[in-house]
Amino acid sequence: MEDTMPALVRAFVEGGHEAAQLLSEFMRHVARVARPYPDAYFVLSQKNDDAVDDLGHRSFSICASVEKGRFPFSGRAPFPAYVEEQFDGRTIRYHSFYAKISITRELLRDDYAFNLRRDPVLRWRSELYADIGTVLKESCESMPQGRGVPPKWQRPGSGLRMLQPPEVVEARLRQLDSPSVETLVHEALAQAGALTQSRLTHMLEAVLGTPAVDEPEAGCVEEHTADRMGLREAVAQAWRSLEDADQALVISLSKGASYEELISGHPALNNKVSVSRAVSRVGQVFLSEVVEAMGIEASADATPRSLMEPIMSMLAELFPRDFA
Amino acid sequence: MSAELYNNLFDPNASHQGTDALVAAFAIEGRLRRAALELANDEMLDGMWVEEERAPEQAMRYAADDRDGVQASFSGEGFTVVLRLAEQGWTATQTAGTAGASLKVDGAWVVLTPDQAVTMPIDAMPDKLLLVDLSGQEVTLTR
Repeated sequence: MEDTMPALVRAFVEGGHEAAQLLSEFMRHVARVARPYPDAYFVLSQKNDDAVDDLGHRSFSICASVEKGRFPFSGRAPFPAYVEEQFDGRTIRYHSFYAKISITRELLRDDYAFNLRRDPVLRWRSELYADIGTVLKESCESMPQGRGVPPKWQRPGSGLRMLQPPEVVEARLRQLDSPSVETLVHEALAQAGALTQSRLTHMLEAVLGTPAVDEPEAGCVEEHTADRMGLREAVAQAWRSLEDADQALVISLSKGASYEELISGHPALNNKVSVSRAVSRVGQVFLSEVVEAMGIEASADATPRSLMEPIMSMLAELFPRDFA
Repeated sequence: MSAELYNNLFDPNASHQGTDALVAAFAIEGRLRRAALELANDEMLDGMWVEEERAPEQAMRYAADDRDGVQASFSGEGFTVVLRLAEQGWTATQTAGTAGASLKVDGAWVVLTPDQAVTMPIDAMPDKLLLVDLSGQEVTLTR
């Protein structure tokens, strides 16, 4: 049977023809790729027909019009690249849907990352991942797995030992009845052997149990921000009042960058006085001003999410090169 | 000391006064954003939800076929060699042509024995194979 995908893509690129049929093909493959993914990967953390349809439409839109820098697109939108490279149907499907790094899977990753920041339970998973990362960097050894694959981690000086399957390891970790991430990480690596940070996160999540779903935090910014333009203006104005070193600090903090990463780009912050001054200025000149403009009492401990998340989102919108 | 001051902003258990508390809240949110991005990226690169996860890159090109393994037949001047990707890696089997032939792969010689699979030092399906017959004549095999 003839593979119609290359002809459909070519017709669409050259004259906008066959769009409905190409989109229909897209939806079919996207639905298939999406099948194993859990709720957390979809808009509003809900996997349903609408969410999968939305994913399919966005994948199609990206292939049609968004230039991608990475291989094999090299600055072209995927559909024109497929035509120029004369890809066969299988290769088009590979790059659009089925590859480990495909257009569709990149969208799923981005939606998941968004949910990991917004959904209360998933935020807990992100924090667990960060805490595990701290333990791994401080006391374990990284084992590179090759280009494009996350490293595995092992305990230092690991000798020969009997490795246990994951479900056995989880049972033993539960028996420890320890809330210490450090203890659980070391025991997991001792029992299961080298693991990636994400695998460790899911293992510890299964052992610790996710927290009950939180009620929406009181005072969320959407309720308090009378107009979004006000926030935009406040962020832009406060940003302009910062000095270079202050802006560098804000950018580093928003990215969770290490101190080494901060000073590699801004050597002037390589002393306590300059860091202390920048912290004070960012607090007083930038965050206080923006929070005040948001119309919320500046109580960071009470509602950090409601205060900081929209500020970061606005910074990313205003200055995508620095914050995206 | 400056590193300690900076790193302290990311510590959820640290106490901060005045507007420094706002900066710390900002930093903790930044740490969470980075973790979210890295976790999502790790799971993608780890192929956590990719059903064809264990196949090497070239085999992934054929993922839409739903086949566990990949094979292709290369022929030329009476010789046929079948390349297969199995669990243990790539193998070549000579299925037609006279005995005593070898394949040249990146400067290495792979001696073929008719109807017996031999290991191939490749990590992706090639476009063609270069065979050398018993007399030393080179034959290009194509799919």
